Amino acid sequence: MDNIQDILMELAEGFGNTLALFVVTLLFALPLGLLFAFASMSKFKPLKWFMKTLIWIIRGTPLMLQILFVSFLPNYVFKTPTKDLAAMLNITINETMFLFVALAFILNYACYFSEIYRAGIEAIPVGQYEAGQVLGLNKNQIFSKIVLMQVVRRILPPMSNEIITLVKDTSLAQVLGIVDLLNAAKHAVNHYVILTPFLYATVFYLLFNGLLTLLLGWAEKKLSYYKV
Amino acid sequence: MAFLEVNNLYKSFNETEVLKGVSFEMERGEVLSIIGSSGNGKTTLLRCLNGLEMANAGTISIDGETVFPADGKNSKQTGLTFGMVFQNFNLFPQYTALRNVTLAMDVQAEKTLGKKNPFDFKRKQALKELRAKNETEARLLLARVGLENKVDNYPCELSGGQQQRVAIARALALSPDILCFDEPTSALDPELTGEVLKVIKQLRSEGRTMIIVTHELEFARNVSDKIIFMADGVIEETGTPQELFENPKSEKTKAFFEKLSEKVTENDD
Repeated sequence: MDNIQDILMELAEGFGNTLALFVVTLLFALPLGLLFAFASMSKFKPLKWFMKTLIWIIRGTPLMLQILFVSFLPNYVFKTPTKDLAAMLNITINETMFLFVALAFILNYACYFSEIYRAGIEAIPVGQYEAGQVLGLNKNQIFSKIVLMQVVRRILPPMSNEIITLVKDTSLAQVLGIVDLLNAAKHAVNHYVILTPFLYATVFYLLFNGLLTLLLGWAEKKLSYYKV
Repeated sequence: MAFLEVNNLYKSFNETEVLKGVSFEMERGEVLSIIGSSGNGKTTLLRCLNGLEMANAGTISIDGETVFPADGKNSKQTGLTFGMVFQNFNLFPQYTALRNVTLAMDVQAEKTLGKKNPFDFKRKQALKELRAKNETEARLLLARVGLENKVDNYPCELSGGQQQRVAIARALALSPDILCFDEPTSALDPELTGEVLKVIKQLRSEGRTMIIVTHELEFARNVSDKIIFMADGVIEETGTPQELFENPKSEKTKAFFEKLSEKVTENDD
């Protein structure tokens, strides 16, 4: 039973990578998604259709395939093997792999987020914009001072859904050899020839998502001081 | 030259012509009501005045200055020339009654202070003082519409009549030259219309220039200096309440009143 401590240490390390991917994805995909949402609602048709096509491709293909695609891109399109790219960026191969995964995740989640943002923005009654307009506010002021808070409130439940899905999707990082929580559990299962690491991983996932659920629920409650 | 001059305003949505050459004028301090059946261009006229819609042709001038067509320079001022009270209030639900009123004032205050700079502490101090001043002013405005006890309430905690009174205070915050009302009581329960109409009457006694689109004929008759009857995208008849109600000249105006009185008798049965 001395193994337990070792196993938990390994899992904790894997969880560190899971957490890093989760945080990086959210940090970049949340603002990028808003940008994508504006692009997909743009009056400039080419931009609008470019965005719609991108969203169609990203939502229409598996995330795992997108990760692989990003990882092959430098080698096959730019003729730069991964190890050269790593040298250029002055990072390890593992870190380069993490970068690939993160890029795919950010792009993928930004597309999903953008659709949620769009739904939220389109749900705001036109009267809110008009009220801002007749009060002499410009477009940016109307969005930042009137619309944004209402959008955030409306989209928090579907966003929570995506955020919790993201926690579990991080396990896809293992296609590029990233040792995330699930991958670490798999290693431990093979190494010690016992199944309990899977159980531990389950507990890790559940605890983390439980915490997130509480946090997001709290935010939702905080924002529901008014009715729309 | 009249205070507000509207000349030959045309507006169509796709193929549908809504305004077919509307001209009228009003003086400062006057109250003008626009009546007529639904779908005859009353609301569109109001929206063309305050810039929510762009008229296709025609001119609007205030105090001799053309505000439409805008030459870019004065286009921003239209919002402050005309205040607007909407049928559905359109209050900002995430803000208290007080914040609803101060929001636009604070935005204006920031504009007068010029560019933002995080290290400009003088500007920050000045902004703080202006905001405090705005808050005091907003509290007075809310008190004037009888809501001094509701300043910290959110719109969802207020009745329709109270919400509309907040909306009136909000529209007054930027001291517009002309205050426009788009059917201000149509979304209200009958027992709540009185409190809103009372506020409008009070504004009249303060000498506010107002344009009111309304279905409340009795109210229009009591409060207006001049009434415009619109039918089919044009001004069918203009006159003092007395002229219009007691001695309508146009056939359409007569028909409108007759139809309404029939409705009233029906309801009485």
